[in-house]
Parts: sequence; structure tokens; C-alpha cells
Amino acid sequence: MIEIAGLFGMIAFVATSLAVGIRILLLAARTRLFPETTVGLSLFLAGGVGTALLIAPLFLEDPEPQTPYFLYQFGTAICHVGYGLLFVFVWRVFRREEKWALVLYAACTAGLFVGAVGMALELQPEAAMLGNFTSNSVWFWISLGARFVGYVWASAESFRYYGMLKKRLEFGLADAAVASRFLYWGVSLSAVVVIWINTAVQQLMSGSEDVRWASLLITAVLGLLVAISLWFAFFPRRPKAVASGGVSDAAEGVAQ
Amino acid sequence: MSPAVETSNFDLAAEQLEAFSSLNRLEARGTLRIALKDSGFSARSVAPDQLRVVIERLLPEHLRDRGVSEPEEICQRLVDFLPNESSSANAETPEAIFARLGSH
Repeated sequence: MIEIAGLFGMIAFVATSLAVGIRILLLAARTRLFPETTVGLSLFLAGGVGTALLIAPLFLEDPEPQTPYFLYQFGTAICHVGYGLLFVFVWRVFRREEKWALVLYAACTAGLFVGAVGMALELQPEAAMLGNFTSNSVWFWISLGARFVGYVWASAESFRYYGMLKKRLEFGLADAAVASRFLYWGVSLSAVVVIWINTAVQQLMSGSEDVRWASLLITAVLGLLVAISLWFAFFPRRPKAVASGGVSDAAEGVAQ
Repeated sequence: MSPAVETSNFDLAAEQLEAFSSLNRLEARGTLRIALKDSGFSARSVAPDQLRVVIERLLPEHLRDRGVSEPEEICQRLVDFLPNESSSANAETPEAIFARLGSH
């Protein structure tokens, strides 16, 4: 039952990532702008295609011996490309002028690349056939560390901006719908951060059956939380009222 | 809008605040910076029309708290000094990008 719930959470996560990713990529096809291209691709690749490939072996009955190995390798590579695209989005959108952000972005991306390559070279087909995809290797921890730092950064920027826009709303200098988009995106990123922590705990205590069940349950809840918050963040709803005034109108113009 | 231009909006307003009031340079910049922060803006990225609203609605109270006389008149003079640019002509701010991401 818990396994089914865990799977349901992951499927909701994958489906929402694909839907939101495609929607933003359609926008990017019209605007040809960098931010929507990177965040759209990130959602489509990391949350959608990559994660779908990683959970695909669970749906295969009696697969070819090499199939789980190749699905894992392709899925991991695609997910890492998606994570990297999220990091470049955060850097370029929130902190493009700041040197520390460039250093942080470069460090996270380097960690992702090194970790992904190391994990790919390390995984043996025999281990994959037995369902042992991740090992307690330095490559795994480098990759997970880079993901953790990058997603913490992204969620911190999102919550910070939500706080700023909430203050601006009092003066009619922000759009309530845009402010809540930052909040929901921050919630979805924070849920992913907890998924990374959950992954680390699961890896450190891999022998415990209780930890395995708890981890599955947490994955189910977090997968659903990411799906719901992503949906609220990026599927437009009727905007709430914005305070009137000439400058408010100008600010609303920015937001449209 | 380039960062240099964005910075000069704040700098321009702070310089004028120093000139129009009894505040010294550090006090003028600090007071304006706190007013911006209280309204969710940073000195680096605030646009002229946003700065105008902060000066009109929030700065008089901050000036009064610091014992500056005739704060409303000073703020009106500051507003008159600011360039008539609109933030809608702004470059890619995070809020503009996120607004677009939810657009139809």
C-alpha cells in the first residue's frame, strides 16, 4: 500500500512537471527568451522525462537484463541536465550582477557534472539488474550535495522575492498573482530539498526496513506537494485585485 | 535598465534628500534605504516610478521620526526631481519574468 502511495506521488510529480514544463516551453517558443527556456526545459527534463525514466523499471514486467541499467543511466543524465538548467535560471534571473552568485552557480554545476559522470562510470549493469542503482560513493554525495545547495538557493531566492512583493502589495506596487507564484514555486523547491534530504537518509540507513517504508511515505507526500505547488505556481488563475493608482498601473504593466 | 542607471536613481534621490533636509549624507542614504526596504525594494533595483511611490507614501514618516521638519514638502520636491521613467520599460526583473511564466 505504501509502495503504491509512493508511486502515486512520483507519478503526480512527473505528470505535473511535464505539463508545466511543456506549457512554459510553448511560451518560450513564442518569446524566445532565456528564462522561460531554461526553467521550462528544467521542469520537462528533470521532473518529467528524467524521473519518468528512473521509475520506469517499476512498471516493466520481466524486462531485458540491460534495460534497467540503460533507463537509469539515461534518466540520471537527463535529470542532471535539468538540475543544471534550474541553477542557471536562478543565477541569471535573481543574481546575474553578483559575483558570489556566479561562483555558487559554477560550483553547483561543477558538482553536478562531476557527480553525474562519476555515478555513470561507477554503476555496473549487474548491480542495476538487481535494483541497486545508487551506492554510497563519493560521486553520489557530490551530486546530491550540489543538488541540495542549488535547490536551497533557489527556494531561498523565491521566498525572499515573495517577501519583497508582499510588502510592495501594501503600496499597490505588485501583482498578487505574481507574488503567490513566488510563494508556490518556493514551496515546490523546498519540497524537493526535503526529497534530497530523504534520499540522503535513505542512503545512510539503507539496511533499515523502517527507514525504507518511511522514505516511501515521505516521497509520496512530497511528490504530491511538489505537483500541487507547481500547478498553482505556473498555471494562471484569475489575478486578484491590485491597488489602484497610476504607479500601480505601471507596476502591473511590468507584471503582465 | 542597467545597474548603473538603477543605482543613480537611488543616488540622485539620496543626494537631493541631503540637500533639501537637515540630514547628512549617511543619514539621508540610510533613511531612504530603510524606507525602500520597508516597502520591498532594494536601492540597486528600484525604478523611478517605484521610488516615487516610496518617497510619497513612506518617506515622510521616516523623516518625521528623525526630527526632520516639513517632511511632506521635502518629499514633494524629491518626487519632482525624479526622472519620469516607468518601470514597465524595465529590463528583465524577476517579477516581470514570473509574471510572464504564468501568462496565457
